[in-house]
Amino acid sequence: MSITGVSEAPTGEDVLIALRDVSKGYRRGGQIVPVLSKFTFDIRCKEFLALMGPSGSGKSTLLNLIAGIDSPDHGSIKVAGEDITRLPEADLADWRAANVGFIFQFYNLMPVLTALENVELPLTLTGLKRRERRDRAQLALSLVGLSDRVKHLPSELSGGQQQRVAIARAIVTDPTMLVADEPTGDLDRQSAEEVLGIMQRLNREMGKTIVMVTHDGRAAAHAKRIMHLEKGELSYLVEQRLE
Amino acid sequence: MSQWLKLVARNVLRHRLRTSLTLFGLVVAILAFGVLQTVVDTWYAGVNGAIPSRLLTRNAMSFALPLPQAYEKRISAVDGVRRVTYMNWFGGIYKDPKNFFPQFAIDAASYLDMHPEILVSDEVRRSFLRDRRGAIVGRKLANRYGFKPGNVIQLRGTIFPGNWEFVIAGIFDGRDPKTDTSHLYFRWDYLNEILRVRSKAQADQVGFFVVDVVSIDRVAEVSQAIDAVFRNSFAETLTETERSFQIGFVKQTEAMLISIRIVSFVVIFIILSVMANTMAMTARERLREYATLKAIGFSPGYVARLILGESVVIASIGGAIAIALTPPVAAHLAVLSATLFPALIVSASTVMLQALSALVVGALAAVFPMRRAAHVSIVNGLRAVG
Repeated sequence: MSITGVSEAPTGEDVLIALRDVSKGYRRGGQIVPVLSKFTFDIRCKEFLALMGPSGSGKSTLLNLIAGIDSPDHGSIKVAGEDITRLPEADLADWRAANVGFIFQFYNLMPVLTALENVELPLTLTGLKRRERRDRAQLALSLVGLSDRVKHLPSELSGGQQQRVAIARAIVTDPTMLVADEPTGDLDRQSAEEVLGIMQRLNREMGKTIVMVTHDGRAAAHAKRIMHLEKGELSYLVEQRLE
Repeated sequence: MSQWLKLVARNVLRHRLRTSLTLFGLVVAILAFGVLQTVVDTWYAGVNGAIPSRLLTRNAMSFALPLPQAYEKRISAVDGVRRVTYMNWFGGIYKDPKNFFPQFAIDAASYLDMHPEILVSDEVRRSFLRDRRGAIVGRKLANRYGFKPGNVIQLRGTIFPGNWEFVIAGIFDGRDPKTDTSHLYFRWDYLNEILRVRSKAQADQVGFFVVDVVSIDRVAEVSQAIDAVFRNSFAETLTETERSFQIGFVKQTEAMLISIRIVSFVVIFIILSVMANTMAMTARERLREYATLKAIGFSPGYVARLILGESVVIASIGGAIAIALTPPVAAHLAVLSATLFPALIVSASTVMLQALSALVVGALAAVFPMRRAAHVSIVNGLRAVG
């Protein structure tokens, strides 16, 4: 791996996510605390972008906005040309179901469902038949190396295995992008490497665009670009050449 | 099984102790509600079971005051009257005052003819009419004290002084379960014969006349006609339908009945609070799961239906168990209450009310958790600690 320096802006054709003048603040104690201010940035197709920065720098807010689970106060966010800030709540939920795969720090699996049922869950929002849903869920689990754990409940799996189930759930609908919020934050080093390896493969071999928030420099090293945020502004951007 | 149903079913079983305790509370509450409603219904059973063409004529001053037995002929002569019989409340004590059961002195043949709800065999009837000291006892009373035909029992008079001996001629049954079989009937002519010796002032008097009218349409007219016959006499009469009399009797205890009804609804309100608290706690713990579901594309409505489904399933199971337990518990209570109730029979309307209460409790308990889970932002929900 070698660091190539500050990135060039991507050309218009290969941009998947375009943020323009995005501002976001939160109300705390009767005051609006700005988190992002007129933030403009482009994320390429098939990119693996790591968002880094100290707590309160706005990286998780940025991730939430990109994923369509939060809305900006100002500005536009276009994903594959569609301005998601203009979508009503119900349409936004449909958009997320079709376009976004979520990977959370604490996996967020349904504890009462088996690994297979958890992975199958997003597919119930599609018109697929049960048999087809099962086949796809099993395929997704095999991609993360958990074919032998399909009937296990989350409580019967290790943290690393649970995160792999969460990755399978994120990719089972074949979304445009994956958003990961500290995906290795709750894992030991070996499990973290396994999870990051899977994410890297998904990016390289399946062309998934991944945006990942992390505090861990070793995790960020798996990304193609690393964006550092400071007080809601882009501090610097690093492009990496991965071997 | 749909994904929604699967999630609901598994969430119900997720905290087994909590679900079991909630279920236990629900069962107790819905059961108590059903039993209390049944008690009130039974209190009104006499009203509902009254025969519409039967009138009761009593002393207009008070039903505690008697009427001359001689009124019988004059009542019989009123146009529209088919038959007349009469009776006296006896109010005797069997061994101990706690052994209360109703006793009536009746004009045996006419009374039995006019009360088809009292079922006696021909043999018992003949035996009863043959022996002046004869008495018939209801099945429930006979079972309670072990009375058998041929037994001699003694009652200590309270209204009518002295000890009174009766020979059990037989046992009667009720035409339907609501007919009270905790009574003892003995012969009025026996009572009167003794009173002529012991207490002349009480002789030749009756408590009530029971009047059978030729047609239900003429009930009002006949009752007015009877009372007109005795207007301005030394003992004026008040004639009313058996149903009106029963309502008047029940009205004396109305405050108690209203209290019982209120208590039964308070019990439901208490379990509603308990259930709402349980569901709120459950939903609060699962806020992150609901946020995750919403993040991956499920609607707020789906999340709300998960909570509603879980609440209604728990309430329905509790309601079903309570409904199944109500008849045996009511039957046991009827046995324990001795002769207070003829039988505590759970009506279809009570079962419906129990089922409705369970569903309403289940639905209302889910309202606030549903609103919260549906409206909480995904970002805030994901931050929630389960």
